[in-house]
Amino acid sequence: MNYTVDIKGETVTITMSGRFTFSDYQIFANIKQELAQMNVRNITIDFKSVNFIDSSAIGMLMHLQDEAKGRQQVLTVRNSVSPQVDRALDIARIKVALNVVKS
Amino acid sequence: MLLRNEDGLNLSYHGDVVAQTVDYEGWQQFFVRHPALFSEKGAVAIAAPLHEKDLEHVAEAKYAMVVEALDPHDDLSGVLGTAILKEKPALFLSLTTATAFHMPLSYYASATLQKMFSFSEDLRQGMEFCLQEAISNALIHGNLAVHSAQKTGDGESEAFFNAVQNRLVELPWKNRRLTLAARSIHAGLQVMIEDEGDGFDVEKVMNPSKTIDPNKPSGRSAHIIRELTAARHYELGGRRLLLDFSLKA
Repeated sequence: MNYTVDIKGETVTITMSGRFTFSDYQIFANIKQELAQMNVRNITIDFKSVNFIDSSAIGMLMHLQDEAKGRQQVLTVRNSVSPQVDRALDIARIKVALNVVKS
Repeated sequence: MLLRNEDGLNLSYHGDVVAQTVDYEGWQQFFVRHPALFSEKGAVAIAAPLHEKDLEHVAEAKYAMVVEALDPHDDLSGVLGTAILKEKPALFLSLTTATAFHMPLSYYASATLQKMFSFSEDLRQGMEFCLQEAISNALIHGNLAVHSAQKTGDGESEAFFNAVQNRLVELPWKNRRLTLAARSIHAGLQVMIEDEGDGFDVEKVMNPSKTIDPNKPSGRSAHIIRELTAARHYELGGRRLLLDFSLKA
């Protein structure tokens, strides 16, 4: 998984691409560290270019959501254009809990 | 990397060669002693170390079998003597945990099987998701023996991932093998995933009455595997998982 960071006003957008799986936990830990140092109100995780996700990645996002809540931040996940990722989020029944919105 | 054509005549090198010519005779004898390697499906790759490009060849259905050797002198007798291989599976992968952890095995396996058995992209994607869950369970909970008890709170905590990271570079965990084999069955396709861990309480973990708590970070894997397979069978105390996929649209 690769990612870019874009800050505009009160919102930081993390745009991810590629596969997001259990083997990306170190990359995701770096993302969480960066976010923890930012003074923003909204965090958007943009999945637009993510083409695969597994349950470990979902778990990582939920941990991030908990951390964001602790900082009074709102986390939003912008869904992938990939039908495979959309289906995975459906099967994992995570769209509501993770505040997944259409890309 | 050593390659062998299906006619068994041409042994050649390419890419980052780790095995040196001094081992040529050793490998040759080795092949002769293991006729199961002469698959009808194509060539065999045995690599030390294994690179992702070896799996790319698998996705082109060029090889039916890819085995990672620890070094050119690794005799692999344990891997190549398995009963599974004697059944001549359509696809056979055997990788160490340290290597498998960083490779998209679920993609390469599903893409290879799609080409071999000509099923839909929709089915391949479901298979990839299912295999991903089964493989990550086998690697993390099986071979690396990092268990849910090491999660603090719910889900994959920092301590949990630190334990994974540490064991990926330590013996014996890093060299434990993950084996993936696939064969045609009357109802479709069966994929076997086997680890070298201690197994687990199958009835407790895979209990179908367990439902997903949408607000919890973990506990989805068993549900996902159930949703995407026609049937599932556990053997060897949970170390071997057999996943049945229907190939009907």
